[in-house]
Amino acid sequence: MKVHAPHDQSGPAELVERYLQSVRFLLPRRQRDDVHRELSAEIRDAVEEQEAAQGRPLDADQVTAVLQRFGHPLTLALRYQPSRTVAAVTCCTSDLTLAEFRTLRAKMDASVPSAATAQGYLGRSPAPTWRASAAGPARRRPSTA
Amino acid sequence: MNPDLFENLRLELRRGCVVLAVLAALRSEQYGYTLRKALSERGLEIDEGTLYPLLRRLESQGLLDSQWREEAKRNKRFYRLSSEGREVLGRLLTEWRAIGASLDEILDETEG
Repeated sequence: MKVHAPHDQSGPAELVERYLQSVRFLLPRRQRDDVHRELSAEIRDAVEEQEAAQGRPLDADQVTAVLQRFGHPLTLALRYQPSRTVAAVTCCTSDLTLAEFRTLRAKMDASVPSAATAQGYLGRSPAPTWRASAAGPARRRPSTA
Repeated sequence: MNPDLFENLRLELRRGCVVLAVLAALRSEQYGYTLRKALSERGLEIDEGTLYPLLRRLESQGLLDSQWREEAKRNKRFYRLSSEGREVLGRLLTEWRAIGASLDEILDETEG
């Protein structure tokens, strides 16, 4: 009986190609071709070096291990961007007066990391309507009682 | 201790050192793969996923020059330190040595 790897049945070359296309798609247009060309050459070098060392072609798992060193396509694509600083905001209740504290309202847990202003970081407000039912009154939640 | 704490501090410390090492290694021209090997042979392992984007960023900042050239019948992107990069590297190394010297003094004091 033939046993397939449960996660992926692609050949090694196809894995590399698919990886490169994913990264390419996530890069800004002006960087795409150039970075794609460079990564393609570098990945091939890494694969060939390992093949020469072990004296036979890499299997899919080994190619996957090489690609993992390059990182998740999204992570890799993001690292090509000039600034990787993501907004970091800390709010301490001790910074608030009681009057300010009373003005606080709940908000959907969402943010826009690329925002340049505090308001932008908080994203849309109030919460979109599709969220309203999910965040509805407590009595509608399933109860174990 | 928070298990991530040491790792975060280590990465933070390492980040600047990696830039320094890459700039220093590129005083002679190399492409990504050979650069990574050269650094690794000297005990500094850098993942491809870190190194290649870093090279591009340093290039876009004007610290590296790059060019496509054929080697072993394959096109590679070669990088080398630019003249601005050379100046920046010199200043960074001065800074690096000063930090090391200060740290040694501080450590001596607390031990003594």
